[in-house]
Amino acid sequence: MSELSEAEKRRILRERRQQKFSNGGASSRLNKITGQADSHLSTDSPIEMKTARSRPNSKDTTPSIPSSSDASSQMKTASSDSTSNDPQLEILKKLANADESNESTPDLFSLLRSMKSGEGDADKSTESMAPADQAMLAYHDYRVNRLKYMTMLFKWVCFLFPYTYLVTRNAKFNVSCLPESLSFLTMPSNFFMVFTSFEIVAISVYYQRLQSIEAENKINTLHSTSKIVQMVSMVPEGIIPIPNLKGKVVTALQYVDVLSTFVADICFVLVVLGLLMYI
Amino acid sequence: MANSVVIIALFLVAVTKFIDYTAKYHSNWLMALSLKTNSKDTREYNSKLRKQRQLIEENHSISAQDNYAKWTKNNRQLDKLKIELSELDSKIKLNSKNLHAIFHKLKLITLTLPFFVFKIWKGKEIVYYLPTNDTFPYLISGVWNNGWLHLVLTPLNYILGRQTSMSTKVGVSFGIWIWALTNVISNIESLIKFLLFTEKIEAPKVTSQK
Repeated sequence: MSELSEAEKRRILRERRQQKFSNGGASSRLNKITGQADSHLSTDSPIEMKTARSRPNSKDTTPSIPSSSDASSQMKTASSDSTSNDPQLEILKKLANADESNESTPDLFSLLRSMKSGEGDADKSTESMAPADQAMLAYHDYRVNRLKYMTMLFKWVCFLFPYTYLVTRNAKFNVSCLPESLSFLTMPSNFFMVFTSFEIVAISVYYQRLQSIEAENKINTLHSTSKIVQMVSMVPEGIIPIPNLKGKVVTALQYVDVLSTFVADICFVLVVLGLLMYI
Repeated sequence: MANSVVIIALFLVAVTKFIDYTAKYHSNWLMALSLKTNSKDTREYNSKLRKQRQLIEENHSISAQDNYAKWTKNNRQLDKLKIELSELDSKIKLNSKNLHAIFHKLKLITLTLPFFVFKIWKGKEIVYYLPTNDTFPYLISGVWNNGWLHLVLTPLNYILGRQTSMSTKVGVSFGIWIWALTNVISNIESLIKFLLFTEKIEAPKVTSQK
């Protein structure tokens, strides 16, 4: 008899407990235990959520109401449910989350990077690059640099210096070492035309060679090594109202590269001209 | 006149480059100098460090259970020494940092600033004359002769209807020449660094997995 009454007692207690949970007592109980009555964390008890799901027609099932009316906590709950496609709203939510977690103010780029990685892993990030890719990238960098410096050395030593010498000799002593049919090449007035033509040919050959190296190693130099392109690729679509921003930035950097090569050669010519005019 | 300008410029460029190449040695020299100037703190630091090592050795040699009182006394002394050593360390580091700052200010006042003022002052002086006036196109010749401002003034004068007169002989001004020289020097530096001081990287072996 006592066993039965004890079992009955236990059953009654169990029923009362379940009743209490179903009336929303779990959240307040959790708050009392953890002492976080004003916590910004979600206070929805899983038991309440289960009972809410099991009773779809019940009027007591209320949506998860945050304990405080703080806008940031509302944003947090909204972010956990919604799949907003607005990138600006996503950034604001992430900033709000970062503020609530009492971390130091996150860097904008780390935010953008985390958003980009959350959206998709289409872009390779250097942080998660495999060792094989890193070795390939290092080898590719080495080959590109070697091409750049050997081209510069060849242009300076094998063409620009001898040609500038011939032009200054022609100007000073009116003597041309070339046959008469080609003597117009060493005339000072034709110097810039010959120089520019040579630069166009040299840069074209350089870029062809660069493209063959990129095709061989299957790496795009600017995409992999340029910090500006990497920064631009982290910016999500829609933030800056320019279509295909990355492509435009890559094109601009290519033009800057060509211009800097031209400027480097012109500077060499100026220095050599000065030296030869003194001798 | 142009010769002296060029010689002074070359001297200043050489000194700047020398200081840049020996930057690592400066750091060591300055640290040694700061230790000498701050000899009292350095001596105190060394003596406390020696005492710390002795106490640690003593603690290792005795048993904590058998010689508890001595062990804890040593530990208390070690804690006190740790605080004192960190204070002295930060004092010495601060002194070294101040010395570095003084060196940088000295470099700025005696080298960087005078070179900058010299470039501005003698910027328009012609270093050498081009073989002919038409070696370069008009706009580029104007830049070599008058400086970068020519790029802005020429279209402005054209819009305002003013005639720009070029001198009878076109030359390269000091400002442009020094810019070209520093550009060439930095390119040569990168070239030498790559050719002589960069290790060759072999193609990575790709293992195909089936």
